[in-house]
This record gives sequence, structure tokens and C-alpha cells, in this order.
Amino acid sequence: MNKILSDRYFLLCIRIVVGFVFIFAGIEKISSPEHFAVSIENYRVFPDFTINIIAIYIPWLELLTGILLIFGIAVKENASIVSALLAIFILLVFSAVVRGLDIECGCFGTSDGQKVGLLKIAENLFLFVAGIIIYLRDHNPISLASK
Amino acid sequence: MSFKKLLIIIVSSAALSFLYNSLSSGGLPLSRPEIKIEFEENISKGSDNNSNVIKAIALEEAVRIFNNEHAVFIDARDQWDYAEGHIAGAINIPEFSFDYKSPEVISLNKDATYIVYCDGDDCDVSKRLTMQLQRMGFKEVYVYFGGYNEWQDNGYPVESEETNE
Repeated sequence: MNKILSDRYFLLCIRIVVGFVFIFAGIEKISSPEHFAVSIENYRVFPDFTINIIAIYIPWLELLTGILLIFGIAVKENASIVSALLAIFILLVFSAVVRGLDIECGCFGTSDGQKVGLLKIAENLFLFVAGIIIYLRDHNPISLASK
Repeated sequence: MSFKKLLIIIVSSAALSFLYNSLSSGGLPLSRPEIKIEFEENISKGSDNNSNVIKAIALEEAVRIFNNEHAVFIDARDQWDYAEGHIAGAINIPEFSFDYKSPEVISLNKDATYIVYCDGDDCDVSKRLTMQLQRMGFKEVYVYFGGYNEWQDNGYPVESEETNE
């Protein structure tokens, strides 16, 4: 198990998976910022004046970290950003479920109408663990930058 | 881990995001516009249009419009709620999957009168759908605040997918 987790090619595979999920999620939201803003509003957690700023910023952070992860640039830094974002997403979805909010999660834009729920938390948890593994294990990443 | 790199990533994505937002035609204002709600006693008198004002009606006016049949009711809830039961004759445009290019939306007449509703006065989708339609240039869109719950509680006509078939 330890050997697999430290395998450079295994780690590259995880990075590609996590990276693509983040790139996809970022682009979907960038293409419809107003929808994403409404999704954030639905969580009823953030004060009004922060909502548009979050809606403008977070998708680009997702996009950039996704790209950098795949290319193996600043892997540790990006893995920590990805894990931090996912930890926040998990808490938000969990709080929505606990409060009984029947809202869509806004995870990948809004056209698919994915609702918040335990499945969503499990998905995010999976990605979160992947982020942590990359952070802890990928000491010598396969990278475009190092060549 | 280098905090310098971390900072560079965070700052450069911030710079990119705000640059893109300012150049994009669909860019957001930095703060959300506040939305006001104004109740109309009688919509046939006509009313002003302001993009940050939602026009609303109460039960009596909704009933009067329903009986005159000079407006179309739009159910803004999802298709499952709609299938379970909706105001008789209402069409369904779920707010959560709203797409201004979809055939249902394109087939609407921008000069006609529409009454948008959802469950009751604590749901937001009717207000949001109204805002979307107003932005598209619809002039006579009203939110019926009591929504499906109030309508049904007062015994006004409803229908569901089962009764249709």
C-alpha cells in the first residue's frame, strides 16, 4: 500500500483526475457566474457583499490549481489549496444537509442540478483524500517544469 | 511547501478572475444588487419597470387573474414538485435549470403577462426566475407570493400529472 501511494505514476494519475475535476468545475462556473452566485447565496452562509466576489474568484482558483496540478508545477502548494477548498466545500454541503436545505450544490455550474446530499459529501471526501495523498507523498512529481 | 508559491498562485488567480470579470459581457458587479419587492393591487393598471424591483401580487389578485385568464402561471419549482401538483394550467420552468436559450423560454411572449410562483412565501425560486425573465426583457412578470401552498389551502383549482393522464 505504502509503495503504491508513493509511486510516481500512481500519483500522476491522481493529479490528473483531481486536476481535471477542478478544471471542469472552474470552467463551468466561469461560463455562468450569475448562476454560481445564486448557488452561493442559497447556502445562506455568506454575507451579501461577499457573494459576487466569491463567485468571481473561486472558479479561477479552481481552474488554475487544476492546470498546475496536471502539469506538476508547484504540486505541494496546489495540493494544499485543493484540499483546503474541498474541506470548505464539505463543511458547506454538510451544513446545508443538516439545516435541511434542499438546494443544488453549485459544484459544477448549475445546468445538471446536482443537489446537496450525502453522495456529494462522499465525492468531495474522495477528492479531499486524493489532495492530501498528493500533498504528503508527491515529493518528486512527474512534471513539465522540472525537465 | 513554499508560501511564496502559494501566495503567487492565490494572487495570480485573483488577478485573472477580476480581469476576466471586468472584460466579460456576463461579468458580475462586485456587490449583489439589492432587490425590492412591491405589491400591486391591480396589475391591469400597469406599472413601472425597474430591474431591481420585483412586482408581486397577493392571493385575491392571483385569483382574479386566474379567472380572467389573461395571464399564464409559471411554476418555478423543479419538475418533480410540479408533477406532484401545480396551479391548474400552469407551465413549468424550473428555476434551478433555467436556460434563456431553452425552447420553453424562447416560446414565451415578452409582452404577455406571467405570474410566477413556487411553494409559498419562504421560497426564493419564484423571485429569482422573475429577475431572470425581467433581465431578458419581459415586462409583465409578477410573483404570486402565497405560492402553491396558499392556493391549494384555499381550495383553488390544482392539477397533477396523475389527473392529467
